[in-house]
Amino acid sequence: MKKLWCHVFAVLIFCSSLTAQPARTKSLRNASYNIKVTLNAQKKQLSGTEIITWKNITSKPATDIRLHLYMNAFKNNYSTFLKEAGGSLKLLSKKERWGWIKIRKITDSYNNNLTDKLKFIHPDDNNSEDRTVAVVKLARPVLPGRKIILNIDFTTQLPAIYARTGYYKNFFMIAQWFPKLGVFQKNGEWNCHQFHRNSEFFSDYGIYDVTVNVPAEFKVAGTGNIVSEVKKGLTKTVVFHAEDIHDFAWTASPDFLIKEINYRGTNIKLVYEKDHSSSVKRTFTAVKHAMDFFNSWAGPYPYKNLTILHPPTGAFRAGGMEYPQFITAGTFWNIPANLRFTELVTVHEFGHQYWYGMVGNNEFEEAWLDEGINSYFESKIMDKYYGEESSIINLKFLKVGEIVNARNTYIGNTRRDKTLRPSWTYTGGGYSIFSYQKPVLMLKTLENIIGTDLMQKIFRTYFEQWKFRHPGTENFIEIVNKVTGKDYNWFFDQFLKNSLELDYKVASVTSKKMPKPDGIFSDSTKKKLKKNSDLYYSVVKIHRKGEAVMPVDVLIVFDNSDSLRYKWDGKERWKKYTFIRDNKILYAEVDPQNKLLLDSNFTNNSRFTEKNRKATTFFSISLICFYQNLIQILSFIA
Amino acid sequence: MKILYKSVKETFYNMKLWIFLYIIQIVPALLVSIPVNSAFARFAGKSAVVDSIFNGNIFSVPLMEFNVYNKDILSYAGNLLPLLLILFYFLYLFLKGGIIYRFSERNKTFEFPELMKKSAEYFPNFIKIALVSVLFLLILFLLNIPVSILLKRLAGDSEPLIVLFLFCRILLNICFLIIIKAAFDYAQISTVILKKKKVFKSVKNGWRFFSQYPFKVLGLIFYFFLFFIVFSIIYYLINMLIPVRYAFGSIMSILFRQIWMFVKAGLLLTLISAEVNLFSEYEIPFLKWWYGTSNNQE
Repeated sequence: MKKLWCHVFAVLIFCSSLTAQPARTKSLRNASYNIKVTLNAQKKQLSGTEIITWKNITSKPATDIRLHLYMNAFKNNYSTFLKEAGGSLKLLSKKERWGWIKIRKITDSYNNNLTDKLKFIHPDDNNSEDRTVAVVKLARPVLPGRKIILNIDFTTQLPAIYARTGYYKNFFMIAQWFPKLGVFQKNGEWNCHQFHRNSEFFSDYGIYDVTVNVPAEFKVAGTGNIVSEVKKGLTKTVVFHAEDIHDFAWTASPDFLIKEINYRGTNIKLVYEKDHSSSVKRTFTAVKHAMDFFNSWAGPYPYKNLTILHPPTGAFRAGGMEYPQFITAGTFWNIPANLRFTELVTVHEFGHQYWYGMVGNNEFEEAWLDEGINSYFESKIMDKYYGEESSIINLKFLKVGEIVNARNTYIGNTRRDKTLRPSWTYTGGGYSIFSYQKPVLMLKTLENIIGTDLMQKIFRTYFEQWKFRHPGTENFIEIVNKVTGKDYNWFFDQFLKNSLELDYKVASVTSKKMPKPDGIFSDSTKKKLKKNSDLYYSVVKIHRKGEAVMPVDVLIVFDNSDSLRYKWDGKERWKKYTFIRDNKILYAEVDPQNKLLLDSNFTNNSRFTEKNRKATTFFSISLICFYQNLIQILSFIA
Repeated sequence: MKILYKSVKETFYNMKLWIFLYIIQIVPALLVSIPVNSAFARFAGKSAVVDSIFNGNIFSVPLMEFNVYNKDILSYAGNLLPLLLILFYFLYLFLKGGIIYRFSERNKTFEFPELMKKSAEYFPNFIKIALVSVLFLLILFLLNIPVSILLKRLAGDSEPLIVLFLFCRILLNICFLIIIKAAFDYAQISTVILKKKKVFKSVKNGWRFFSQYPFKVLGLIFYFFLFFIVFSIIYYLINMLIPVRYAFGSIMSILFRQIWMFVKAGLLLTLISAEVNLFSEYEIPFLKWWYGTSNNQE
């Protein structure tokens, strides 16, 4: 009996130990922040303290820590960000308009004062004037699996909104405002890049408890749940709590209007000013579409909150950005319904909740994994809900869809750069073309090859495996290969890691009447030739003009509507098809379904034997009339 | 309306002049279009996608790709066009003296040598008048700077006000441009009809005529604007119905569009004729009364 009781007791202890075990969290939560900050709306300044709890989850000791101090990007025109931005800095040109962040004091949990150990470094470009990354030598290393707690007192001067963050009159968009850790990697090195014009962010996941004090008349919104909101005298204290996120941003203004809806268990809050009231319904509709799509193509949105901000007039530069559970979109007063920029930016930024927010790739080094994949999702959502041909602009004589837009940007620049490169190393508009537009075309081409169902499965698997973690390009390719059961490295080697141009062309199509038979033939051949006296010798030449190789379909149509379809592996430079038939060829087409959206020239994909005079005449008339109109306008002026 | 009716009749009476104006308007258009057209035919003429240009969307595949892959020819056209427009401006300015003279001498048949002779006679003065008009345009441009600053301040961050003020500013600018255009049209007319040799006197006459009969002058322009709008709507409605995808439709489209261009050239001539008639009807009796004589020439 005693033994039985011992067993029962042991089982009970085991069961209780099971229930006492903490619930598995979404992320590793190795970088958590407890921040208390006060906004001085007059001085446009934040002052506060933060407690960072960081756990070393690698097998290497950390002898120092690295901090992002991104508000220093707006400190002076020698910062890497502003040097790269170029152009006019008029917006920042007054003393009170520059922004900066200063660490007043930093101590560890053993009360070691580390303030003097702080040094600025510039790992990306050796720009000694850049103050956006700091290294702090620790008093003792943080061993694998151990934690360190850092107490930091800091002051942040907000800049006039130049890009993403800052103030405009009484409106505050507060992002990149507190000292934030970089990512300590498996190799024992920190990944902590400077703030660049063309780069975004990379951080570890954790829990954020943020308390903000603002003037009592201000309305506040931002990342996470608002736990409490208390007015006391002239001050309002708002407490936020958010889990499994890697950044925190918030916004404040006395002029905000707020509308909330609940969709799929998430409280969606739209923050806007009165001029943008006409966009409320459109914004909610767009975000609902996006949520529906992501639900089936990646997974359910797991957070309870989502805040969307339409920045007020004068602060548009705060728009079009993503932060965990908080996005900034952008709209205009009474923007016509057939110009879908509000929808587009809302859908895009919502998508970043997945590709950046939950799947936290390194945005500095492999921006295509968030911007590119997200743009692909944006294009699918916009096309699905707003029409493929006119998902962005739907005017009578100007219709722009997502794919047309992406191709228009990409096709003239195919060889200019490649997709897989650190985002700050692009020149000109390369970042936008190769991190946003080209990946859209690349992924859409892949979808056209493998099928929509497999593509959906790829993204569901990728999201499931890598949510709340830091995947890289190879992890994505690995999933593509695993889900499809085929090796697609050849595809990514050509279009992701390199910049090979894809262009298949119908070089020529000819049909010539066969000459009368002359010479020595067998009797049976003679009979046959006599029977088919109108035979044509037709030749179709297909040319692989670009360096990239893809298997392609070839369609050949004869003038009696007969058609032939061939599959060509596309490897050789030329492919010749010859026929002797009693019909002439009407036209030939390579990739007739336009599956290969990376093909840099669709016009040369097909070729008729004869010129389309009606179409070229129409072009001529239109062009002549256009110039005539210009000249007539001038005549009326003179 | 009486003046308008008379002017339409005179335009038809000067059919040769009308045809001549139409021809000189189409020549520069052809000069720019021909190389672009042939490049387009080479690039996309045999492609299956070329049909999509019928939908009129500038982002259709052949237009978009033509734009990307034919930068040389497009930049050639882009450089040639402003040059041709400048040349055309001077050619038209040259001819305008002759055209005004033609309408001032009623019931005479159009003769090409006379047009050239009179054009050459008034051209130097017309150039000078054009230069003075540039001064007025410059003033208008400069006035826009403080006005836009003021409106920006008044609108503040209110988007409805920003849009409203923008439209108001555009509308005001159009009104001022019409007034300047009208005044300088009458300056040109007074040069021809009153045989004024001094440019400033012509300009003064133009402005005086405008200030004396602002409603008549603007009313005339308003009527023309109205006709233009009505004709444009009719044109676009009919043009939309033409099935350009078919051979017959293509030919119809060519003819119809060129008829429209021809009508617009006629409208321009009618406007000049109407302005000449208005000036003759009101200014000459006024000058007769002013000087007590019909001989008011310098």
